[in-house]
Amino acid sequence: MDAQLKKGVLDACVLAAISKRDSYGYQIVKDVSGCVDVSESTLYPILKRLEAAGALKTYSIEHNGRLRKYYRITDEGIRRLNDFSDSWDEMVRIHDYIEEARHDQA
Amino acid sequence: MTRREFLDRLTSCLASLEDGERASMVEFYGEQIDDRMDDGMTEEQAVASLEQPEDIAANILSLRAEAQKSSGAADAGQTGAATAPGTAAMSGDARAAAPRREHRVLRGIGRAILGFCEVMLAIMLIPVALGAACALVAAYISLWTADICLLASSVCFVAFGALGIVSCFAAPVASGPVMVATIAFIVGALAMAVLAALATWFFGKLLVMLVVWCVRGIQKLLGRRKATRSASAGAAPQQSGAPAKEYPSMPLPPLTSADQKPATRRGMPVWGKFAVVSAILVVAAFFTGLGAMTTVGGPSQLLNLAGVSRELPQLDVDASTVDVIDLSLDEAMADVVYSVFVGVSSDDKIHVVGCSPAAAGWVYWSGMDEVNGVLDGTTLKLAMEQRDGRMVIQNPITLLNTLYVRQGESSVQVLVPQDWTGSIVCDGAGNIVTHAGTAVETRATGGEKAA
Repeated sequence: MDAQLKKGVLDACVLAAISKRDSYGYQIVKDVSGCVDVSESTLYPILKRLEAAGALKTYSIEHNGRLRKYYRITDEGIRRLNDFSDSWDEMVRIHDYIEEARHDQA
Repeated sequence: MTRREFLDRLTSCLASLEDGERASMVEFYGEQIDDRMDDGMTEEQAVASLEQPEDIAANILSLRAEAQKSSGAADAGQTGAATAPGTAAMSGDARAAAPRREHRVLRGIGRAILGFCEVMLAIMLIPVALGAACALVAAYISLWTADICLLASSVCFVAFGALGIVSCFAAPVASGPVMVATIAFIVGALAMAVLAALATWFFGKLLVMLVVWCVRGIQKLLGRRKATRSASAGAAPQQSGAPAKEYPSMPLPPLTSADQKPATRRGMPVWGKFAVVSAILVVAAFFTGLGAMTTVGGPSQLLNLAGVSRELPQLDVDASTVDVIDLSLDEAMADVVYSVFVGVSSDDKIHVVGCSPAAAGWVYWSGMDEVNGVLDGTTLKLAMEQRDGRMVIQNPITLLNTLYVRQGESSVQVLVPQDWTGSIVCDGAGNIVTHAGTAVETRATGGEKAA
């Protein structure tokens, strides 16, 4: 997948991963990796960016004698996720247009 | 690679980031390793499952540089959308394009206002800063002036001490207590000179150190700014994707014997010892001098010698109308005066002159400058009063042993015993008779009208 396109959908994937339940970094990587290949070095900036934008918030819970940071989606995050879903039709139209052009070329 | 090694390498690779951001990132990766180990991996497996620290840093810095570049072209507050055009398209950011343009306009206006305010503030601040600088320089010069005054006072104290030493040898009359008081004065003055000199040195050193501190502070400030600029410049290539350079740790030089020596507590410096000894000497000299002067006449005598005693009426009376000079004692002066001279001048004025051993020399009162070779000295303040038409000199008579009465060119020396208490009658014609008390021996000292 194109890097720019992947970056765009990763925000939504991360939000989707924590929309089911509060989650932590490693779990998010595992969940998102099911559909898009993602590493920690990619995930970290996304989490930071979403947190700065108010789309998620963090809290820590003690786990095995250490603190584990959890991420929870906020109303803003849910709104962004809905926006992404709402734009699906537009995405389909774009995809169809591209496919049509490709077939014409063929 | 262990967890610690991985995080250390990551830390050094992210050296160009701010401390807080770097710590947050390292903490994130530490948590990833811990979560993997909780998931059943060994430490090495957990570390191996992650990217290499250099790759992570390169990726992070690359994304960061890209985000900064994008924020320069678009809204910085919406970095996420700007760094990911796809997201903007997919989340319907076309709707946000118009508000963004408005934001750009508003930001431009804000920047213009801010620039204007900065210029105005600079215009106002320049004279204030210049005034403050002038005030600081003036204050600094004043402090140096005070230091020079301290030095001058030290020189003065040395001069006083030297004067005291000279007076010890030059004084024709000096009793034991007076000598003790004089020596105490000398010691006190010299000790004060040392104290003032030390204060001058210490204060001057402080002033020099003040300048050094200020210069160092400015250098540090400038150095920090330079380092910040260098760090910013050095971070640029790293942000473009190059991994951060890891600097090898430099081995520390071995400890020398001087370093290994336990810290010993340093004693009082030499100047401190000098100061303490001088202060003790000043106090000791003060109390010694005070005690010595108390034995010869009390603090009032000190005041007398300092010329701050009470002013007394001048004994210039008409000799033809005053026939009795009553010499009675005042206990306060008993230890001070040991001879009084009474004379009648050619203009029929009676003059009284006294001398005191405590004065370390002849002391005389009245405007008379020649009474039996009276020397110059400090004015002796004698209590005089007129009682029943007589001029009474309230002075100790028990210590009087010589009384001179003079009229015109003639004078009579009256030898008065130590325990004599009485009056001397002068008839205005130069004849002197004892008025009361035991007889006194009279002796002509010159002229025709000797009694």
